[in-house]
Amino acid sequence: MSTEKGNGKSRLKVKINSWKTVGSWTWGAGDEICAICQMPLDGCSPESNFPGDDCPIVYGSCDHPFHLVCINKWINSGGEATDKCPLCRKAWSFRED
Amino acid sequence: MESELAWKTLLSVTKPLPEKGGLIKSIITLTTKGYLTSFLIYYQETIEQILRFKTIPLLVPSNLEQVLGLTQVLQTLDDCLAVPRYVFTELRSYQVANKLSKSPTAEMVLKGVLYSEKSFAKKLVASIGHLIKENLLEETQPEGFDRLCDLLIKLDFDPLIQKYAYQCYLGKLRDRLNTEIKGVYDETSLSDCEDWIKTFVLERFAMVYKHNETRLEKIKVELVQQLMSQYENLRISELFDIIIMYPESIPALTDLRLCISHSNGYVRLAKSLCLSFQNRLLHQGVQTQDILGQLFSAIRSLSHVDPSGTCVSLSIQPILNYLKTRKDTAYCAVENMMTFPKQNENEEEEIEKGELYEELELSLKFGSKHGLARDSLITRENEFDDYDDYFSDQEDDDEELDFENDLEKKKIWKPIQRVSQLSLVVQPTQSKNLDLISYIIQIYKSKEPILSQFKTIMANKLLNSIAQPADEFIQILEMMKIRFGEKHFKHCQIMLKDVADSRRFSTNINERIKNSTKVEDQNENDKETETETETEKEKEKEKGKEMGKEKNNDQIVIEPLIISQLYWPELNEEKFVDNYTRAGKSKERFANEFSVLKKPRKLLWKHSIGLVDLELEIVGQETPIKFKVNPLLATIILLFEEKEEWKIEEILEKIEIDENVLKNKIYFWVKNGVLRFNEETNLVSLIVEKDEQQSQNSRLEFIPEDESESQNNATSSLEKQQRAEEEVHKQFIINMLTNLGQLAFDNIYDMLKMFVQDPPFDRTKEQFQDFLDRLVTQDLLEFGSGVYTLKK
Repeated sequence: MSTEKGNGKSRLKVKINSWKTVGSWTWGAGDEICAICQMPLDGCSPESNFPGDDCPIVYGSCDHPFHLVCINKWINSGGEATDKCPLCRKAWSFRED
Repeated sequence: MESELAWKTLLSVTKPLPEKGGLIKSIITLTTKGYLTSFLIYYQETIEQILRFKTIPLLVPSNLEQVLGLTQVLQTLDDCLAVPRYVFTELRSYQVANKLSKSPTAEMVLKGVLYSEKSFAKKLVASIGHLIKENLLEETQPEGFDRLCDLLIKLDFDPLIQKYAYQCYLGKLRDRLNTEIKGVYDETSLSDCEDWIKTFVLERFAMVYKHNETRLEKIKVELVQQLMSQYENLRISELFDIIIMYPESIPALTDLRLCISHSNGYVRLAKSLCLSFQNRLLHQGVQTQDILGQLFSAIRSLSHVDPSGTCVSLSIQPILNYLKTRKDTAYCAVENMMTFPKQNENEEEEIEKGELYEELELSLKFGSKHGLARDSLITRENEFDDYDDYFSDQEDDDEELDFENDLEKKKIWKPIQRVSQLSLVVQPTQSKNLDLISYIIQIYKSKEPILSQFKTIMANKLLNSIAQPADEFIQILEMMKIRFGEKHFKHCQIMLKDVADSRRFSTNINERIKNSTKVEDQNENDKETETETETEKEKEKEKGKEMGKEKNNDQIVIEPLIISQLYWPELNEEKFVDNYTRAGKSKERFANEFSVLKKPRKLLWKHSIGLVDLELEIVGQETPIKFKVNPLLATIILLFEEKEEWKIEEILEKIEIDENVLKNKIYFWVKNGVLRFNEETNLVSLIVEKDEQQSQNSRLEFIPEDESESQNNATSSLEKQQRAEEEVHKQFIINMLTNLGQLAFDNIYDMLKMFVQDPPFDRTKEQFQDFLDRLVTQDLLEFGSGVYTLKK
């Protein structure tokens, strides 16, 4: 009998009126921090108010991720090594995805 | 007999004897000769008459010796009281009083009596006192009273009159305070009493002191002072209750304010109030929110009494110190801060706004300068920006005053101005400056506990109302920003944005899913047209219409709250992964759409958090059963749509979850009469028979049908079930305490009653108390100050 029950079409129907749950987003860059502002990549740089769309991350061609605002600030700061990745000192260029 | 006759003769003389003082001499002689007894007999009969009409007018002692002699005579008479009794009963008649007051004799005699014999004097004084009291309180002015008073004043009884009059009026006042005024706080009574003194009492005194205005003024001042101090004493003793009644008790407070401004008894007030706080408020039996409520009322009441703030700061320190030791103070304070007026859905009664919420509203209205200035004084933190704000504001003010724009201005020592500004802070008339929030900050000498508590509570509230608009929080947050400074609320700001974004994303994404499903449907339908039979296709279409959404109800509309995890408090999840049920698939699909829309962002599910509103329909049964359960429970029951019977192991294959957790969750459905679990075969099956379902609803019926199975087994499964429930409760409690820090027994009980609905939480308070006690003995929980906390 049990096998019959187990295989047969169930007599139960579940009507879902609403399914509320919680998710969290990530850039998928792990728990790393932005080497410039020392804030988590999933967080936001001190300059921006909100993480996520308002504070996106970018990768250099060397695969080092930074907050976009942070790396722009670095590049535009006019210092000596501003054309290089702050981490590995390779010439900086944005990675194209 | 001879002697009696002698007395009679002597005393019946009606005309004054030619020789001055002769009569007195005779009396003295007779007395010393030993005719006293006979005199007494005669005296009893005639003394009153004689005294009234004959003797007193005739007795004119000419020197002190005579006075003393006469006194001795009267004294020796046992009934010497007859004299004053006569005098004072008769004094009430105008004529007698008049006569007496004109007769130097009576005056002298009485004086003599008073000077020589103390006990007599005492009695006389008592009878005068009685007389005065009787007269003073009569509504109409007693006739002849002024005469009497004249006489008494002549007799040097002035201090005595005053003393008795005071006693009498103050007694009356005390009666009035104790009967009419005590316990009545919602009307002013002081001015009534004062009026009574100024009119009624002073009129009486005016009879005594006639035109002695300065004297009258002095008396008035003295009496009013007495009234004030009595009133003050009464109200100070009642202050705790007056505070409870605030704001209805404002009239009483206004009166007290007037009194205490004269007496300067602020310290006494504070001392007495501290004592009643200690005795009635600051112990374990009182809940923290009640202490806070009393604190707020106290601050407001006392600021009303003493605008300078001295009373407040002297009295409430013990409360602040005590609150610091309570772990849920910040929690309760923030809850209060977030209690905005709204209609409670369940009960019809309106929720009153919290006192601290009112404060927030005020800072919204008036700006935050005062509050912030106080805060930085209290916290002594390096709140330079607050100071800067403050000073720059000051400077503006100075410019308005148009001081000459010289350099001197820069040298003005600002803190002095600040302090003077501060004294304005607690003006009760400007309630905007009376800032309760700063007192809460004072407890911790820092804003931090309040701010972090605010963050936690807001996060919890948002998580509990997933997909609800968060407008009310936006408003509160705005007010908080004004009150505490914007920089503290980055996290909260982000949380609220997450909520708003989530709503937008999910509408967007669900729309996309719906559309793409339609397209897929069409494609599939196109492909399958050839193979599928007409009927099947129609069925599909019908279904689609029925559900009004997708081709069938496989796709579940997920309404998620998508959080920026770093800015939210840590969530309490039960780990499980479901890629199998339609819920799991719907979530996966949602996440995919998200990563398409928001590339390269990804969505990670917190599967176990949330709330699912579902209805179970079982074929053959008419009414669907409604549940609101957490997503894990919903996921489990979804499996039984596919087939009616699952082995535990099978479920574990489909859903990644801890076996014990799974069993606990299954017990939920077992308890609700939806599933049946056979422990021997590890088989979970759907209950379809109506009768069975009903019987399963009752917990006691949860005994294996097979009676042959040992009773032991049955009880053990009962126990197990109970244990499973308790496990659920325990988990609830732990989660609540992790989120909220600490809770009182009633809070936990009520929350479980509210949230654990589906295995209806049916424990009595006693049973539940036992359960909590057990958790405490198991070192899981800690109990102190009336609240439970997690044992660290």
